[in-house]
Amino acid sequence: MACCIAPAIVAVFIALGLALTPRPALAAEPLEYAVKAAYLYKLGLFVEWPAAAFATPASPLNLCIVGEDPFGPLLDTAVRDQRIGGRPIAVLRLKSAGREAGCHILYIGSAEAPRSGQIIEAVRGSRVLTVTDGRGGVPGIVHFVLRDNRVRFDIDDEAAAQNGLTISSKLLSLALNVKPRGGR
Amino acid sequence: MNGLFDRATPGACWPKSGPYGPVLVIAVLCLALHASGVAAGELSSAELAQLSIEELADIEITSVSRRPEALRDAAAAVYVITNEDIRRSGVTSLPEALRLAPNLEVARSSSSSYAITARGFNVGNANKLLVLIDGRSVYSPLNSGVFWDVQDVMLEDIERIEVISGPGGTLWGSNAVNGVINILTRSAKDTQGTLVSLGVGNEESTAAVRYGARLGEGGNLRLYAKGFRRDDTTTAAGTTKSDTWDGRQAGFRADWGAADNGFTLQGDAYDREYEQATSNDDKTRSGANLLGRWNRALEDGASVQVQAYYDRVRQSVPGFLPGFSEASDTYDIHAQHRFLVGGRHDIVWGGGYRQWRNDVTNGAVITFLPQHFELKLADLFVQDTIALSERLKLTLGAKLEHNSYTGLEVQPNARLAWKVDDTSLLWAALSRAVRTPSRVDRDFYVFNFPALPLRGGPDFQSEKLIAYELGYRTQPTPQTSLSVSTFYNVYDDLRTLEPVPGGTVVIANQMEGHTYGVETWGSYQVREGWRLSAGYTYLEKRLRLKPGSGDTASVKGADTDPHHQLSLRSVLDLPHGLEFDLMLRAIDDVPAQNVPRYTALDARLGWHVNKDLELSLTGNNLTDRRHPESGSTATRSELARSVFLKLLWSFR
Repeated sequence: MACCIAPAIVAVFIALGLALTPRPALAAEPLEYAVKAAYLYKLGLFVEWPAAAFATPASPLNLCIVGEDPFGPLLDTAVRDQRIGGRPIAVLRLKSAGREAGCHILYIGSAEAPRSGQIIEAVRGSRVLTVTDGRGGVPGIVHFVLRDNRVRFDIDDEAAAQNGLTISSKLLSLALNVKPRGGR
Repeated sequence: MNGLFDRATPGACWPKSGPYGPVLVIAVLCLALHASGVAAGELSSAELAQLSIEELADIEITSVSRRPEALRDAAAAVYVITNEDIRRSGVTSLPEALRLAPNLEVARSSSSSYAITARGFNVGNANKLLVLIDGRSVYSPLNSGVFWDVQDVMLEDIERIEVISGPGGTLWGSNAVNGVINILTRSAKDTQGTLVSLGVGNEESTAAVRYGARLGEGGNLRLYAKGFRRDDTTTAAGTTKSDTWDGRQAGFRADWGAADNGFTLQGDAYDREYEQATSNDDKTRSGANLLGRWNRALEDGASVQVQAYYDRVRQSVPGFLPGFSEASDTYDIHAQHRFLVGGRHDIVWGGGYRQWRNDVTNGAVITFLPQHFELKLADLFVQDTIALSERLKLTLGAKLEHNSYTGLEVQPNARLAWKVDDTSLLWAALSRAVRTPSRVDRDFYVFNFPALPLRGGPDFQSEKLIAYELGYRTQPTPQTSLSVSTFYNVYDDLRTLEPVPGGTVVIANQMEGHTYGVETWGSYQVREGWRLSAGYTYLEKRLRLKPGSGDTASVKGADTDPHHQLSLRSVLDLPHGLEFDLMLRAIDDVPAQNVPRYTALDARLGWHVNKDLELSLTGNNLTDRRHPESGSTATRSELARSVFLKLLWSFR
């Protein structure tokens, strides 16, 4: 009986493999992006923008995603009801980003890595916290890395100084690698 | 003001807690993550929002578990030994690491022999516990046991060990009667860089090195090699046994893609040599294995997995007694498919085929006939978890297995899990499991045992279990967790030795009975950096011979388990990178075996010299000069005080 069951089982599973038309799953685990979404606004708690970066004390903090959006509604849910320094967070999705966009945090995903250098250059000197992801592009002020199965980040404090931002030493101490400001 | 700007000094550690509320939530989540040791695959945005930025940095983002539910929702008595538990305990081998599970009995009878089981019947070849390493079964059909001396992995690369006490026949197949141990190693992605481990002590010395690197696009690889030498032990009388042994092992693991959507290829090769008291020649064991696993995530939460492996074992026992050698080759292919239906049903189904080929060269005393044997196993299983309501889940499943010895075996189970509230789970289970015959039960011949020849029974059937279980798992406060499980096991057709006319003793199934007990464990986070945990198990056995049995040894022979086992652990972080860890275990006596009750205290002092270097000094059995744990009085070893100094050096 085993002789007949065995080939039958193998055949069933070959059929199973062929019959199921696997679609490519999400490019990365959902939890990785849920954690990155939480990071995106929590970073704001440890960064100081100059007062001139906001029109009024009640103006929202603009969190911009340029190009392909790996978060989807996940990000909107994450920031709803959150506040940074008393300000609500507005999520903006842009095709391209320049100084006029008024972003405070600008996320450039791994799919946009090829043009990350261009975007970062375009907003240099304006008060934008650039956050990059993935390999192959130019890293922003904060760059997500995966280490030991966890989401961690590197910080370029020199670029933060160029953009007029002050980063809390607590956040610097949490970073894996820090490029210090010139003169330290 | 732009938010909470903390001007903490660089290098400051954890912040002082803010308002009590968020800290409560954080601690609950951290404890749940730590206690279950599993990836937080189901954290919502709201839960993530509650975490501090340090906590976010600590969340493991890929789920290594192949099971549909998070372990904290499992309707079974599961204890998870994490990588960190293993590191903090200072253990140097897998059997010693298993002492960390309160729901296991672990008893050492010689330098290389261990008796390990759950819920009773613990002997050197305890046959009611199924053990898997990365999905590969290491339970031997030769004697229906596990050769613990050849099961080894690089302990630093273990992701976690899931210890499930209770039957697991439906998902894991036959021989998962009293429990299942799942040893899972880390993905190659998580073991990059070089790690060197060197250790020396008064009873053993070890060396291991692992190298991990990327492999092309999206792939990762690690290679490792390790070796050890363990010294001989002493008997009760104080004489030295000739049981030194040493081993060498090397292997690799390559992963492409993610744990839930990718491909893994891994393999190992090992050899062992054991000094023998009865011969000048060493006993040897060697083996190798190769495993491939393919996971595919499908739409709507469905997934499919196919796994195939080859495993070989060779052993040789020269000398007159027993003068025997064997070669085993296992070929296994299994697949499973999981899908969701209608938002209520979570269905897993699958099956596979395994062939175990065995060749023995018989010695003067120990003989297996026929010399060549092929065991064929084919199985199909299905399990449906039905969400009766948002908090109540019913799981129904069954496995059908056909094996060359006993034909068709059916292992069904039903489980009910009730989420009493957000931090507590009450569960109940009813299962049937079988322990199928081994070559020893069917094909074995021993002459001069003790005065009569002994042989396996051609009609030996599977041992059977019907288990009734009830359990409760909770986190009454953010700092504490508690788990309690009770069981009532009804056994039938347990192994006996029946005299038959002609002066032979035949292995048969003439014992039955029931066992019952309680397993409980819990942990308490005293403060940041200090955790206490405790575990206790209680076991009662009531076994009897069936009418007509002529056996004279088996009822007493099954009396090998202590009634009580207690363990206490303290894990403490000290300043300047120091760690101080204690483990105390108290094990009740086993009168039938003449093993007195004992307590053993182990302590470890660890020091993170810098980011890459860790030193540790571990002492075992500190309170007692020597104590035995298992085996017959004349030949068993007594475990003595030991110290071990270890260096762990990592660089990328």
